Amino acid sequence: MVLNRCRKPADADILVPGDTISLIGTTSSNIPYDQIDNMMVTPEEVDILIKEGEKLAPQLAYTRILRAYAGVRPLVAADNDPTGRNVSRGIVLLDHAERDGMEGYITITGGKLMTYRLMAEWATDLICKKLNITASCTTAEEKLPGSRENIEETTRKIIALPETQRRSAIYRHGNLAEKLAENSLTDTSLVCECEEVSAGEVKYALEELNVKKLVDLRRRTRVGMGTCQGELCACRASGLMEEAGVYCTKQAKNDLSAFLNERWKGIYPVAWGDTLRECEYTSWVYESVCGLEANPE
Amino acid sequence: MKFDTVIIGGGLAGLIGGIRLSQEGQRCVIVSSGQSALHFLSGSFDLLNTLPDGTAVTEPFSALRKLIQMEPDHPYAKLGTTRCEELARQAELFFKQIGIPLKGTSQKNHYRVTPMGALKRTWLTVADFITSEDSKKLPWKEITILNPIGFLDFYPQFIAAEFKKLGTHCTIHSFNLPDLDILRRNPTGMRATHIARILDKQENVKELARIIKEQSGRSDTVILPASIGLSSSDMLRYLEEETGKSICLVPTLPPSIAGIRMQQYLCNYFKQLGGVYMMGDNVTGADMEENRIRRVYSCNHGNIPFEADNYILATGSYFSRGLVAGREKIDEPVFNLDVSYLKDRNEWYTGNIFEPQAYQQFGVTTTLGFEAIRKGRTVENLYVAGVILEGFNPVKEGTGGGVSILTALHIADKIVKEGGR
Repeated sequence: MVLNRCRKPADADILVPGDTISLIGTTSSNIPYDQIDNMMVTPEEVDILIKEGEKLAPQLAYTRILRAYAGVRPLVAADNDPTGRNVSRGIVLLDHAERDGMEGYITITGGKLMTYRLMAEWATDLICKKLNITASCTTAEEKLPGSRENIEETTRKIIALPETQRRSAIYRHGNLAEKLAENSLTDTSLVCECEEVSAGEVKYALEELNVKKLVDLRRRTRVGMGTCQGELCACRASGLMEEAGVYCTKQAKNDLSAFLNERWKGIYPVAWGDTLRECEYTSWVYESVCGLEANPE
Repeated sequence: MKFDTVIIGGGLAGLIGGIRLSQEGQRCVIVSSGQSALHFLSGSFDLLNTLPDGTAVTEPFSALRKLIQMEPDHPYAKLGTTRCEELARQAELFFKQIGIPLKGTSQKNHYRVTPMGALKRTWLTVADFITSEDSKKLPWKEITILNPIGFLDFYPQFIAAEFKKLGTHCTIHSFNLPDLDILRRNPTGMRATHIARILDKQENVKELARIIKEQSGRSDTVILPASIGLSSSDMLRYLEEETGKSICLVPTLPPSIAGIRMQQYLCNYFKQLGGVYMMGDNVTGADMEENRIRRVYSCNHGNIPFEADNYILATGSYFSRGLVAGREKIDEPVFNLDVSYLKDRNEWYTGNIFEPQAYQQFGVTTTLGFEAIRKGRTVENLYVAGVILEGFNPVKEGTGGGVSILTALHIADKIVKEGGR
């Protein structure tokens, strides 16, 4: 269910479910080009989101907030709108041959992840037109990997897995979760309790999903994205990655430090209440118990 | 219910304060909400490892003066250098007398080994754990590390890689016991405490001895993850006798076997001295008269109050809810005591998790004698001990254990000397 203020786009007007969490957003501000690699969340932005968000869902005032993030979205400029709030989020396809007399040069921009396949379709259609290819684009009809088989069939194949693991794996990998069918008892051991990521799922991601670092593993499996934000799972996963030969122990520790800092970047803007309790615990575990340092070598 | 002293908080500071007072004949109650930082103990207590400017500390006593200059509100500053030294020595004696064998001395830090293989300076280490006097060289040529198959909270390669740099060669073996498969049926079964319950069984200790003999080859020393010996270290002595090898533990990710054993031991010791330990209870409020606490009330005891001459607040920091952070302020929730913190939330953190964070330094304000302060006025019979105190960074300085132990002993002494008033 999506809650929307149903007003002209403004701060904190939408509460959207996304995977295992819900997201309140957004704020919008203009970022100078030289700052696009330096995204920060300010306390003011967090306060606005909570204050306005409470009007949408009063429960927000009492809800544990896990993290806050900011990102850069390339929008197509309108000169008279400094916040960018009123700029179209639509897709813009520019043919520079028509626009600027530059043959063989097109730009696809605007849009967002939600519309990336449509953007690809527009871009390839234009290229095909230029190359006099008449074939029609199939991206809208073609099923993505993981959605090519009936989920009941997949469930049947991995019925031996513990239920929560099974459901989480199917949610994340669709019918590709069947790769976990041969999981041993050791493989069902949980690396990440918050998101139900098993050692077997980590191994699958390492072997088949091109995972080179903890952040890759996070995007593939949600390791470190749950309530605890990487408290124990990050260390467990880095050990498994070393064991699998993804990297050596030195790289494993560096990766672990970098990953914890990547998590921290999103945690500290909302670190009060239980989130701060969790931060303190994480610092005990990694700094005191483990003696992990920013750059171990 | 009438007591000489009511102690709020059943962690390290609360338990030590309770035992010390009971040893002096006081009738005490400890009201404990449950788990404390002890459950994540590394296996060691730190006194002072690092000064706030990052200088490494080899001899804690000679660095105290500098620390106090840098952090004038530090609990050690309130104690003063002489008293700190006295208390540290008293603490060492205290643990010895109550039967907790610890390695190390306050004269000079030694090194503990972390689950990542790092050597960290520390003060006192639980006797079963591996330690070194030297950070550049270890006293072993050859070590065997054994780990139960599928135990993800201990990764021996991390340790082996660090030890290799110091000239010690490690051979790693994983082992299995049929009983461990029972744990593996539960996806969260393979955790240190569960494994210890299996390994601590007599028939499994015997089997483990056989495995050690078979696998340890030329090594005189065998490392096991701290997932054995939950109730006592008897099985480690047995393993040593059976195998003729020296068996050392290295801490794992939490939960901490050493910490849980320590907590249970201290708690039992306190009860044997006649102390009352109320587990799973929370103090909810107090009646005050003329800057003194008259009685406190708890969740489980409703309108039946606890009355005492003195009260010790040792409820820990954020994790244990001794401090509660809101969006704009930090509160002490039991008595609403004065807390020192920065008003602007922006200043509570830095963007690098490995840098000192200001929030770690916030805490309850006290007088030089550790009496609590409420709305600017001293609460005469309420003392504050442990990591709830203001003015220090337990993680960065390596002072968490030291502050808890020293302040608890100091306050207990003070209460005894002042005759309960």
